[in-house]
Amino acid sequence: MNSSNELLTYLRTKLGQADATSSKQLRKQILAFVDSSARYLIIQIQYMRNVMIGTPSPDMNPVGRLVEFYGETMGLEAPVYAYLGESYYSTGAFIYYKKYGQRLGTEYFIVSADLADPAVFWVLSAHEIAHCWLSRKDLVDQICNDNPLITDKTNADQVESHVEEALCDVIATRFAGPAYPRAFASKLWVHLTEEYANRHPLYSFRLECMAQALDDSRFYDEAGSIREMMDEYKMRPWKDEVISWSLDRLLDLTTKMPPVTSAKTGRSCYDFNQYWDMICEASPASDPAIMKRASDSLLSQLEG
Amino acid sequence: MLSKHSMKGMDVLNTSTDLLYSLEQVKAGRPVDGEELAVRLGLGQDLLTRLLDAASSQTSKTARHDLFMLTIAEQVEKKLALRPSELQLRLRQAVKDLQNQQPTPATVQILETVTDVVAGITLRSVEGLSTSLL
Repeated sequence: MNSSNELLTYLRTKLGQADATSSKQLRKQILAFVDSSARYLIIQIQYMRNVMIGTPSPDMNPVGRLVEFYGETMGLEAPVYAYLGESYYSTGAFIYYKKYGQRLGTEYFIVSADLADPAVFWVLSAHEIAHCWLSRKDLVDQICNDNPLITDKTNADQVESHVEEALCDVIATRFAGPAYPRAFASKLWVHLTEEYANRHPLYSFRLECMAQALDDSRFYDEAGSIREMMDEYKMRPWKDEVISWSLDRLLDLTTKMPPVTSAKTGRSCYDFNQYWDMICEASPASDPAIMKRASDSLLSQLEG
Repeated sequence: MLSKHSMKGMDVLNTSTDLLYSLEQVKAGRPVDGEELAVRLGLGQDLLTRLLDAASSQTSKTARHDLFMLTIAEQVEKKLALRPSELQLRLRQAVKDLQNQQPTPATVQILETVTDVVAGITLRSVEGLSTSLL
């Protein structure tokens, strides 16, 4: 609320500039800034309403507890609020100003997890928390800006977007272990043979990133299973991905990401690997009944 | 993530409109807070330096470039009908002007063009967040 007031005060100052300038062009440009800022604020208010409506009390928000823990363990500098929405996404850090050249701090992040998913899939929130974490770092720029191979500037947005998404996959895998790629492949298996969407890398590249991150953490069997699946599905070669050149950098820049098991908490339920081991070892694998049992067990622990 | 791609222009737009406004006030002989002006000139100088780096990367493979700045540089070149080397010269001079606190009309023109380009990008990116109405 304080930040909203500071922002509105700042926008009033900018509106004063728009009134006072004698240049029609500058007035229009200042108003573009005010308009964008106000609309971002409204968007944030809407997300905050979703959080408040979706979570009557913190005790009744197990997904909120989970992402709060993820955020703390990854070292986010602001709290994360979560709700169950139509998909997995995060707001990242919005930029606002309180005075010329002075930004307001990031007060919070908001993450949505898919309402339709059993709780064992909430490990996918680690990818969204990684987006929040990256929004205050320059890792994506470090990878993109110094690369002489990027010559087609018209694809700059696409390259940046692909790098960020792949980076989030690597971070989430380093953080959550095999549970992340297992949940990823289980959720998206229908789509795995599709060509990539504009803002995401090829699925085969994303899975190879995860497999290599697992190799780094000595989860060799789990990494092998991912590669077997890629062969089985006859996925497009990961080297076809436009940012395949970035793989080593993606891995190098994330070696210090702490695994979820490093957190000093007595709550083992935050480590989803136990649940995904149960699901993957079942026969048939991913039996819905086992998945439900694992999710119920997880939920009871998260709520406990 | 919603904010990353959509908010890139906010910093640039805020910096450039602030600076243009202050320069206009100074030119019109109206009182301007000295500290405020110094901060705005400094931020404007940083902005144009980053743009110069991006513009330089068009002619030098070793120059470090920010992809967002590169997009702006390319659009400014198009609007002002400048070749990359000409934009680099103009930007180099503009950075010096701001350093000396004596912006010429050419520097103001560059700032105005950058602001125009970024205002368009920023407005479009907010529109991109919603499929309703706009």
